[in-house]
Amino acid sequence: MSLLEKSGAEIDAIIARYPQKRSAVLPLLYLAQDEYGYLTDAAMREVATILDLPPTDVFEVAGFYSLLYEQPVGRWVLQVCDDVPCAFCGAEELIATIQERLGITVDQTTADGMFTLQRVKCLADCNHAPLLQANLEYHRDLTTPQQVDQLLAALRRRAESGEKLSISGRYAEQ
Amino acid sequence: MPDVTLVINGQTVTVPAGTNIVDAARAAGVAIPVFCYHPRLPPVGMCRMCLVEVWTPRVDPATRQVVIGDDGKPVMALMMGKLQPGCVTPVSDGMEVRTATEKVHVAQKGQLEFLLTSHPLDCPVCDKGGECPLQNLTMQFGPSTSRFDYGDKIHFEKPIPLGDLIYLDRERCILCSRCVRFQDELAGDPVLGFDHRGRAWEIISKSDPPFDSKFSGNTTDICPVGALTSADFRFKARVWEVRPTASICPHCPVGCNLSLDMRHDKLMRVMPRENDYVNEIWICDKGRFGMRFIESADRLRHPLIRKGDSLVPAPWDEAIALVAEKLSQIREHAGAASLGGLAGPELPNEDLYLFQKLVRQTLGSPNLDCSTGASGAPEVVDLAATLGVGRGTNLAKSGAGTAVLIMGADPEEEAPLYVLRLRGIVARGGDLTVINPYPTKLERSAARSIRPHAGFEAFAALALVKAVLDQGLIATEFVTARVQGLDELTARLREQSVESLCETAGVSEASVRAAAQAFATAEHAIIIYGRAALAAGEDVLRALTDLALLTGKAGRPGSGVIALLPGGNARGALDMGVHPGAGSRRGMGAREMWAAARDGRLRGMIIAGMDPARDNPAIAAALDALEFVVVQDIFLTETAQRADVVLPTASIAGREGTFTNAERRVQRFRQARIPEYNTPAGWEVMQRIARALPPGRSESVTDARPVAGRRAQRASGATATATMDAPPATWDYAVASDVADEIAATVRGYAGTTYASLGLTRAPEWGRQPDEAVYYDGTSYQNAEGIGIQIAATADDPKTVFALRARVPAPFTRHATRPYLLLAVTRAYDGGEWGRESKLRSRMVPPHVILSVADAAAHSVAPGAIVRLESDAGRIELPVQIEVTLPQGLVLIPDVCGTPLSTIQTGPQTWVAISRVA
Amino acid sequence: MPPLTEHVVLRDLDIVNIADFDVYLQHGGYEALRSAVTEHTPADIVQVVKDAGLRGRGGAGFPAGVKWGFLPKGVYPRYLLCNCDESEPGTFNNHQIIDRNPHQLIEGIAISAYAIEAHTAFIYVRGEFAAAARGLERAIARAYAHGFLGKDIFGRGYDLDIFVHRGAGAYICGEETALMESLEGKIGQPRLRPPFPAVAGLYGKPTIINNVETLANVPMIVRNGAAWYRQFGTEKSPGTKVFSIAGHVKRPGNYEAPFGTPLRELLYSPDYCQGIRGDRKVKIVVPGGASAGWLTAHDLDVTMDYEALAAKGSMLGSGGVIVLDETVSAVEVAYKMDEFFKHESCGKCTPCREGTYFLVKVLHRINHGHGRKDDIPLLHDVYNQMAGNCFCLLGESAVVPIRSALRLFPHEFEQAISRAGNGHAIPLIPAH
Repeated sequence: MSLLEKSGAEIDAIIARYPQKRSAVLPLLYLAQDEYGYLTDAAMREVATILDLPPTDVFEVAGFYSLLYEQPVGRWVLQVCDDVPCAFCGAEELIATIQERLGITVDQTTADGMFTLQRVKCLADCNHAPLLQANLEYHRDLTTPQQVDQLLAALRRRAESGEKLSISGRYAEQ
Repeated sequence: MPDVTLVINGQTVTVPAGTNIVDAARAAGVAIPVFCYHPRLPPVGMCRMCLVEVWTPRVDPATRQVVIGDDGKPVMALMMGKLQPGCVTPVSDGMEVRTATEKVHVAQKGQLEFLLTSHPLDCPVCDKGGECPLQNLTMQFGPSTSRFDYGDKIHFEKPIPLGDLIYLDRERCILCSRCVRFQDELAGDPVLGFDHRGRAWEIISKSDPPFDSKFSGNTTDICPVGALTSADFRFKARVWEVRPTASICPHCPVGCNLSLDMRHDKLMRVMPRENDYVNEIWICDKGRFGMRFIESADRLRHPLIRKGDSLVPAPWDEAIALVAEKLSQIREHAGAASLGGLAGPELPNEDLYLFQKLVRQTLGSPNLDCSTGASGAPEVVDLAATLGVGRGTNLAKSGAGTAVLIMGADPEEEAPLYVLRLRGIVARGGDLTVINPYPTKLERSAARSIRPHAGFEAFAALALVKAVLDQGLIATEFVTARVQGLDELTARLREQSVESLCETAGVSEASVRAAAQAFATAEHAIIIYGRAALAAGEDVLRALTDLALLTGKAGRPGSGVIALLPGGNARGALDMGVHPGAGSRRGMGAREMWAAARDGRLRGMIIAGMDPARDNPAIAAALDALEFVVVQDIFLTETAQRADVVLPTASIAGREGTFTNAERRVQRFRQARIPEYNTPAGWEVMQRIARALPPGRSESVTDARPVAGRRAQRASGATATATMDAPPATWDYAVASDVADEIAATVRGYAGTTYASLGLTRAPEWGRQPDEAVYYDGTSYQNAEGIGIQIAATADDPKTVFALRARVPAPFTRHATRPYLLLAVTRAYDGGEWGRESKLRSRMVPPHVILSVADAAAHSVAPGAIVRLESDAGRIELPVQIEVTLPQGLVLIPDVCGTPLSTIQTGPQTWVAISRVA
Repeated sequence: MPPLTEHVVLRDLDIVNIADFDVYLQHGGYEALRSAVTEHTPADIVQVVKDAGLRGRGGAGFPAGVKWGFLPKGVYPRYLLCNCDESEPGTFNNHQIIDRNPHQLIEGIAISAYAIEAHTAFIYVRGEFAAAARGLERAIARAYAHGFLGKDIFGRGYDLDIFVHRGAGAYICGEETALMESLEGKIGQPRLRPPFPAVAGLYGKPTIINNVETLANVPMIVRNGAAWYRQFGTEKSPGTKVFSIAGHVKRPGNYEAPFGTPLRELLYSPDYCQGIRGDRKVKIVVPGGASAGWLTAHDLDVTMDYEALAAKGSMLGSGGVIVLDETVSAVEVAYKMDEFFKHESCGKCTPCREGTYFLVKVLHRINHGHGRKDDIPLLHDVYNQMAGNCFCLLGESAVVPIRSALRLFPHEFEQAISRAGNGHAIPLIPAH
């Protein structure tokens, strides 16, 4: 089912916000990667067609922005800030713990397709270092391995409960 | 704009306001190194190579007065307190630019060190080596060592194909974006972009097919490093080994100036030569990658003589003797009028001229043509010789104040380089209207696109004329002096209204009025018409003529009409008299000749550089009915296979000659190599035949009549007047220039076009500085051959007077049972012989039919399905492509090799029925 | 300087649950908008903002009212953009203003749009702030429902639409022209100037772009007047600033304080951060996001305003204060900070694209014990080849950490390199 068939009304509403159609490219790419799990070649061409854009322009955009995924990712994308000041407030320990618990290294996805781990730059919540975002929801002050375990378990439960997840953060809450 | 005076490195320079510092410095002979800046692209200031010190008079913020120092001079301040990029900084009065200070040198050295950090330094195996700005500028401005650790270099997989023509070496790329900007802004094919960001940035192309542009090769020229290389030239030669030879592209009427870069007698690559009047520094991919045919192993090497069912090699003398014998026999027993000649519009003027001299004068037959006479081929109506763009026109200088009207043409396919020329006019502020019955890419660049119903184009054209009359847009002075029949025209159109004409044509009245307004009120205006206009018939051309006349857009530089006729030298063919109306006696045209061949009135034919039997069984049958056929060509074409004698000739690489382009510019090409297989030039073959003919038999030495005097010209119609003065009857040409001299002496308008005169055009004042390419492209486009000579159009003579001839088209009736209108459309990549050995083979358009979405749905056909098209003439079956923007009811068939259009076309516009086959 | 008893922006500290629309209304919410639209001309609003001396909080500190005055007369449509692409390391106030007091921001946008005669405003929210964007959209919906946005606001014929547009992960989009490119659906790279956004910005139309905190100040200025506003802060830096303070302090967080508050007070006062973690010594303070020059323990008496910090060779910037104690290595801090700029370099200009990459490569080897004896002069050369030569401020900012580190802590670089032991040759030809 194409994006237009599935989310036609939402797409129309998004496009209607802008004086020029191509402004809708980021929201549509967010929509597309939620729909297809990541931005497949076909998905980007589909967005190009919807917006009357040369396909190259859409690939360009998808490649430029760090929250658009051109490779498959897990259902939860865990993004740990390793920037200053987090780097000096436990970020490396947090990353090590997650790697150890999930058995993956940075930029890998767990075999069950549940988690992808990434390092990211400042998430602008520095007073809660170390922290991460899971599908762009903040999880703050993760100073102990126990907190990490609890978080991973909770995320796994949510995924298994059938909750609708969005790697684009379209359902993110505080 | 007023001029600005500034100081550059101590030199005082005055340049036009708005000039950037790099260009201003160039004018002063100061070279500021650049990478991303290119004088033919808008500046972006990305590469930071052109950083210079810019000092401006300090202004007191309180008084807004220039602060004067103790020495009585303005106190100067470094602009923004730092170096400025020269390419994006406009000059201003009192500015002082310093390009050679320590600070600037440090910055230049720094940027070069940065650019070279990840560069692979594989110059020994790089195609760009030797003409590489990165090499050149590093030598002049760069550091001698790199402090970047070798192990830290970013490595990429070595060249990856961006498409099947262009390779990308990401290690060499310095990310200047010239190629991307060329595609976006000049070509209008936005098929290149950047993936990722920062140091990971890389060029990508995601069009389908990748790098889908007819101009892709130009990116390899303007690439300032060896990042983009062509599949055609990769690893073929070092650039300093090649010998550039001036040539002219034979593929379309633009007449792009080429250089055949030869190593010994082998073509290594094709490059553009700069000619602002024709192609600037660009060529299309057909010109660049479509010249390998000259080295094809399939080239004809020996004369062939028919022995029963086969053609067998024969010595030249035997073949020529046979031709002379047979032609004179036919002439004797059936009369000269039973002979006919067809010569292709790709042949050079010298060949065409002697061809018509042989047929018309020596053999005495008036039957000559340069078109194939296929059932669907439109009548050639030629406005370019009469109203054609005024002498002195330079589209590279047209911009604001120029309105261009495209009527029934698809420049991208018919004359690709015009896309760049026209988009350039738009970029410089010109106005563009596209009127075409089907969508074309150029309309995306137009201020307005008007799409008349196919078959009703003449009503749209007439609506423009009526709007000019209605809106009082007549150029009174011009009309009074040079135009006749205004009252009659007004009377003929009295019953018409713009509204009703637009309604009939199915177009927006507002757009038509706006187009008429733009056209009439512009200082200069140009009409370009092509295949669809010719297919629509003479009424369209009459209306266009009157539009130009009524608005006074003829007879002066920058205004007039350009005809996109098929073939690279159709203009020359018409001028040289290769059409049935050129002599004193009107002869048969191609179509009439085929009819005459079938019923025995025509017995013998001489065909040069044309393959009318291709995809055309009817013409093949007509050929078979002839007593004797001689074909001169470079390949054994379908037509040649049916000949009694086949005579091989040299390609344009193996001889010299001239072509005349759509803007009537006569341009010389040089011999690039010894003739392939010792084949002679076409004109030499004509001379050998003429000399072999029995002497004293020519019937009509003075076949031409005096040039028309001061009387009202019919601006349209190739059948109008004789264009030849009486040529001498002798055949004693030693070299091509002897033929050219005779052309200059006898063909109207060509008086100043001897090779000697053409040689005097070598130092155009617009040219780039000799060393300019070193800074911008590394690649030289030097034009040592000259820019050619534009001959006058009839209208350039202020004494000529024209008659207005627009008329109300006959009502166009639909076919009762065949509801679809079929148009044949030109495709640049048509699968013709020119494409042999070309890297463009994969891009050749396969036979297919194009349907609208609605019509495809109505017949439940998906792309690839086979449909049958049936007309009064016959039927064909073709696979379907669907075009989203094609109007319902219109069917397009690309005129490409393998498509037997003649079996279905009843004329240029054919009513057809569609049914699904599979 | 006493802490504020009444906040201008972080009013959730004064009024519980002000993020709630009804609570906001009960406390005079949208009254400033009503007053602006029904009682004042756009020019009046521009004037009061000018008089208040409201300076742009995005980093440059340019007076907002003056910026608004750059719009060419009679050219429409105009757009107002609210820059919430907050990505400067150590800065987290925009995000929290949206969470804690969203309606004041929306009201500020509405008043400012009215002042510049724009009928469309976009809030460009950093892609990572997905939840905040949703919260903002819900708050905007409430304002629409009450007729504070949309058609014919307060029956005075003024129409305004506000849309939230999420970025997708690119620090450079905080640069105003890159933000416009991004909002137009392109890759976020800065544009050439001129033309300036006020003349040709979004979609080539006159555009004003202000930071979240700047616009959130506007309702209070309109409500209380310029003189009231100027009671806070200094002569040249009037008003208050929300300082984001993080790192090795005991109580990191956002603190709204008057401009001119001494840095030492922010770090040590019981009203603010309450001192350094473990009572260690301060080593490095970066007072305005990663782009600001470093301060050390010797500089703590500087007052936090544009002028005083500039005089110290640093800047107030985004107001994101990163405090690092003596446990950190200056080499590592510089490496991490330049790693950030390398990661975010857009690729457009050579010195930033190549220079950040070059710096990080050299810093990486020094930091990992492979430094070479020529690396210090090399680092100086590399940043000097960048400084002043980049297309936009991102590349210029990347110069700051390494230059600060080399200026303030040269010995740490020397030590790191000498420990690496020269003579341990790094092969010229890569092993792989």
